[in-house]
Amino acid sequence: MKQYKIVGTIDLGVTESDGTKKHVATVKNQISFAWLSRLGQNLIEDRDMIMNNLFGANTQYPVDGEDGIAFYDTDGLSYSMITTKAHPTANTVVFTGTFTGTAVIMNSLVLGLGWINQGTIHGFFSSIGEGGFTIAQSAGTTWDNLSTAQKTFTAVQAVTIVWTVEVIAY
Amino acid sequence: MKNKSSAGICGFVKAVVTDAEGNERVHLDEQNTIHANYRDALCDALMGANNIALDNVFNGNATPPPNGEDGIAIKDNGAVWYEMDCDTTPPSRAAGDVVIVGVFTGVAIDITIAAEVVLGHNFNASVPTTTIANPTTWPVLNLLATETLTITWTIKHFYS
Repeated sequence: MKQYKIVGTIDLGVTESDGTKKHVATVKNQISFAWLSRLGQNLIEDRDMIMNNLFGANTQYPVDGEDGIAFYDTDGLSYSMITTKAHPTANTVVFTGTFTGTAVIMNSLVLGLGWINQGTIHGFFSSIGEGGFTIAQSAGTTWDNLSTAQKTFTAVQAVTIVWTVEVIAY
Repeated sequence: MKNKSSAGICGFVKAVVTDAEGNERVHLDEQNTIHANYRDALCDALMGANNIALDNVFNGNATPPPNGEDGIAIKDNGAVWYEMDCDTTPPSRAAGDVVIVGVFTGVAIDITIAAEVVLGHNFNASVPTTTIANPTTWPVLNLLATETLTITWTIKHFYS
């Protein structure tokens, strides 16, 4: 007997203007219902889950149709993080997002496929709940446990998110 | 409240043998063995094209299973593999659940171990390119040509 589960962790780090790097926190992500559903659909018919059009800039707002890590600040404004991906092991995918140049409070994060205007990214994984935030749900996560100070960054700081998605036995 | 920080993948197998008089013998494998091929395919799907869809399913009881087709295959003990005539049901009531039903009849075969039953994608020379799962338990089954074996295989994706 063997079962697997998909888990994700979010590592939050910051690089100061003098180059000093600091790890801020590591938290669990949330898996969206959209992703859960697509796993099943993909076993019946080939469905696009490929993160292959990654955000290439730090923009407000993220570019429509692109994939990767985006975030919302406390005013509800959305930004894209420059996103790269790696496949270090057969059962692990790592997405790395970087952001700098704008003072922000990272209220929530989402990792997803195909941004469409504000707030409707087809998110697979998020820091607070349903990806894309189009389906309200109440489950809080450890991201919510971070203090506002931990999620507040100046324009001269560079924020790095390392989002690891792993399929593990349990 | 469900914990949504992880998504589980599991499955179960129900095997029913129906004899010529309509009598049934049932085996339930409550927890199948998900194959590492499927585990890895989930990550590959994020990285690039990786079609593992069971969208070209077996439609007969031939041996060997036709190359390029998908579904449930069974092996006569120590000998050849056969395809099961398969149908799939896409996720509906439970969004992440997939049901694959395979039917086999007309040939007397012996299936004695769980490794002789496999759910896979894109068979080639009787071996799937991507193995989805095997049962974890399987009884010694001496299937008569007059009997029908029906396997109902459910793969579940759920919040865990």
